[in-house]
Amino acid sequence: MSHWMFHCDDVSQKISQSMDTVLPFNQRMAVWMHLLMCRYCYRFRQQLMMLRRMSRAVGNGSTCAQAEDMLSHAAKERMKKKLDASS
Amino acid sequence: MEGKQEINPEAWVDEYGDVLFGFALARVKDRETAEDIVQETFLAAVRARERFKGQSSEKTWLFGILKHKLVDHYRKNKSTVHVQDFIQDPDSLEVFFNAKGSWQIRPENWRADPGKSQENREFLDHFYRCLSGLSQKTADVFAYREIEGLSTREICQRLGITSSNCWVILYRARMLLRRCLEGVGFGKKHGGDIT
Repeated sequence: MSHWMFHCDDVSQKISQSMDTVLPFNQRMAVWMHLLMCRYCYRFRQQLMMLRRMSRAVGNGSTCAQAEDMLSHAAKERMKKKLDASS
Repeated sequence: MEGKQEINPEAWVDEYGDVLFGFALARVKDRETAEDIVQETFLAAVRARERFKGQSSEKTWLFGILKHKLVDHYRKNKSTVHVQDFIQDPDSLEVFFNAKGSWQIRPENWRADPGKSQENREFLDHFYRCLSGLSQKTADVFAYREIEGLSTREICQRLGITSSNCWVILYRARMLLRRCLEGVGFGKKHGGDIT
């Protein structure tokens, strides 16, 4: 199959893979040519980018609770006791 | 960071208890549950302390454990969304494409704006429910890569899998997660200002 003739199933895999590694030049070109013509693969790529941005936000704590949401002294003491018993 | 660090589990409670609790509370909306999850995190950390090599900070390491505990929590509770609700056979991704390799279940135009905090909160709820509906391994690989930001090489080392295996699992996770998010209605609301 010519690299210019990727189908959506192949392209979707390449789009996903391109988020984890650098694709060879010919594959990058083939994917971009396909994206120019296929709005569903374009949407798929947009979705994966959004999924990544929001997942990273989940991971970096940018959606934490308010500062006043802290553990009570009693809760901390309970935890210490359990940790002491388990270690 | 040099060598192996001295680990003091009780000091973790004073030093990291509040930040871990705040992070958990924003995701479970119930103080008691958040407290339990933080406690489980500390206990799991004690059990796994031999594996802490000091390559990351203690805080990062504890947060990593906490994030997995949160996914476990959603998995154990009825709030999990199963991908099977939206596609018939989640073991096969072929259902997404027709015989010619074109999209059969077409990706929708997501209209959410990740910058808006309200949508972030909505996303969080859907996200954890969908993530916990994936198989354990698929969810773990996705969480390592997209939530914790590990490289595929680090994931391969941690789980003892090959790069191509990792890419296949990530592709699968992304396909199923985005479909699950669409299924629960994420991306359809608050879109009036985006075309």
